[in-house]
Amino acid sequence: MDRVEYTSMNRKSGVTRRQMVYLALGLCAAVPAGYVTSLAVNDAMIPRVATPDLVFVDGWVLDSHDNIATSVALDE
Amino acid sequence: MINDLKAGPPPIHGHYDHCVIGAGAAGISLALALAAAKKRVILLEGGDRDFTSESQQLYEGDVTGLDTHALDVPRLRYLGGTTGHWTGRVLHRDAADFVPRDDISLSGWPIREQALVPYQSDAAELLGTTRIRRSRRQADDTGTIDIVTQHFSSSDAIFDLNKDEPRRFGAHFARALQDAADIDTLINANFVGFDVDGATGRMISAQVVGYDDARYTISADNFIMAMGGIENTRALLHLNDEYDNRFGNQGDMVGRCFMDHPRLPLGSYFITQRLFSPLPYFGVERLVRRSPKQMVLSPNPNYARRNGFLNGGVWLNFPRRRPLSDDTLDSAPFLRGLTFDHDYFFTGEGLLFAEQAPNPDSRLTLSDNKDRFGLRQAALDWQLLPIDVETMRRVSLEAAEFLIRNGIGRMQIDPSLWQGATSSDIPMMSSSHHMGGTRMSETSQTGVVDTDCRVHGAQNLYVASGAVFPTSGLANPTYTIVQLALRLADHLVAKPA
Repeated sequence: MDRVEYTSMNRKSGVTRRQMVYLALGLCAAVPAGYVTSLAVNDAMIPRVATPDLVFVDGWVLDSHDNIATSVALDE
Repeated sequence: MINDLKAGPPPIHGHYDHCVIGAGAAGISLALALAAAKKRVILLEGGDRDFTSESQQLYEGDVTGLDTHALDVPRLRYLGGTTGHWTGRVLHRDAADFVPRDDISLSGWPIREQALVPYQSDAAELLGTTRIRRSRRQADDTGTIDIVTQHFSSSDAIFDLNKDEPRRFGAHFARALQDAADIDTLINANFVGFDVDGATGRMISAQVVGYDDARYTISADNFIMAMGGIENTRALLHLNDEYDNRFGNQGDMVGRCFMDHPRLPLGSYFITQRLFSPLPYFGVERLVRRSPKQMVLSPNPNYARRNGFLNGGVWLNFPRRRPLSDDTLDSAPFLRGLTFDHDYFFTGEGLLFAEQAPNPDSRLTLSDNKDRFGLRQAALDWQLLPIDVETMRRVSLEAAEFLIRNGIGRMQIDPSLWQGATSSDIPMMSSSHHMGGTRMSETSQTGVVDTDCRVHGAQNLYVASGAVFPTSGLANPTYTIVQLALRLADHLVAKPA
C-alpha cells in the first residue's frame, strides 16, 4: 500500500495511530495461530494458463481447456 | 454574494477583473481561486439555485450522428452544473495520454502531465477526494494489464459508496459564494454574446439576458467560458459566425474532434479473491464491504500503443460474494472444471470504457432551430473511427485473457466484439463525457485554444471545460477539468492588467 492510499484510508476511516499498532500486533499473533492460511493456498486456486487458447461460449471468454458446455450469465 | 436576476436589476459593481460564464465544476473552482487572489470576479449562471424547466430547455439541440442522449438529458443547467447528477468518479489522467503517437493524427497534448501536477492536490480537495498521484500498477509480469484504481468524489469526509453522494458543487459551495466579498454571482443570468472591439479582437463586455428579456452588460478585463463542453463550443460558433472566423476558427476547428468515452456493458464476470491482493481484507473483500474505490483492468498504455489501439479499461463493478453451490455450477458449467480453495467467489457486471481518437468529422455545429433567446441550438454529430472499435475489442479481450492467464476468473464480453463488428453493430452508449470541440493546440490550424486555454486570435477570451481536451484518454474528465481551471486561474492572476 503506498503512502497516499494509507493516508487516505487513515483519514476516511478515522483509524488512529494507536489502533494501527494494535492491528499490527494482532496480525503478528494471527500468523502463527494459522489464521492467515489463505496466503498459503493461493496457488491452489483455479489454474493459471500461461498462453490461453481463447474460445467464446455464450458470451464467456474461456480457455479451450475449460469445461465449455453451455453456460449462462451468473446473475440470471 | 449571490444575486438573482429574477429579483430585479442586479447590483453590478462596475468593471470586473474577470467574468466567468457558467457556474459548474470548472466555473466555481475558477471563481474561488481568482477571488482567493483578491481579484474581482462576476460569475454568471443561466439557471437557478436548483433545477428549473425553463433553464434546462435551453440545452435542447439536435443529435444527428451515432445514437446518444438528447442534449438536454446528460447536462444540468443550474448552480453547480452537471455535478448536480454526476456519479462522482475521479480518475487520474495517464501521463501517456499527453504524448503524441505517430500512428494517430491530432494525438497528444501541447502540454505534458507535469503542467497539471501542481494543481492535483487542490483539485482533489475541491472534489472531496484524496490527491491521486498515480492510479496504475502493473498487474502481472507480462506488462500487458494494469490495475487502475477508481476514486470517488465525496460530499462527506467518511465515504460510503452505498449511501453517500458525490459532491454537488451548487449545494456545497453556495455558502462560499454567498460569503465571497470578491465574487458577484448572478443566477438566472443567460449569456447571449460578446461586444467585441473589432480593431483589437478584444472582448469588451458580455451580454446577459434574464427570463423577463431584460438585458444587461457586464464589462471585465477577461472573459472565461465555463459552460461545459457543448455550450462553450456553441458560443464560439456563434461568435465566429458574427466575426468571420477570427476567434479560434481560423483553421475551421471549432466544433471538431468532439469526443466521448464509448461505454459498453460486457456481461458477467467471476473472480476469486486473488485479484488485487492475497490478503483478504485488502483484496476484493474490501470492495464488497464498502470502499471509496473501484478496480479497473486496463491494458498498459505503452503496450496498447505498441499494438495499435488506444486507452481503455474494464470496470469490475460492485462485486458480490456468491456461494459455490450446485445452483451456481449448473448455471455456469465451466466452473466445474476449475478448482477453488474457498466455497465462494465474487461476481458482478463488467463495464467497458474506451478512449476515442480525435476525429475532425465527429463534430458540433449549429442547428437551424433556435432557443428562446433567438440563438441557434447545438447539433451533435458524434462519430467513431475503426481504431475506436478495435480499442473496444482489444481492451475487452486483453482483460479476459488476463483473468485466465493468472487463474483469477473468467468474464463475458459482448458478442459483437468477438465477431469483429463495426461501430454501428456494437450496442455501445455515450458516457456523457463531452470532450473536444475547442481543443488545445499550438496553432489555430490544429485547434482552438492555446496552451493557456486562451482562444487563438482573442486577447482576453478563455475556455475552461472538457472542450479543450485534445484527447480523451481513459480518465473521467472532471478531475482534469478542475486542474485545468486552477491552472487557468494562476495564468489570469499572473497576467498583466
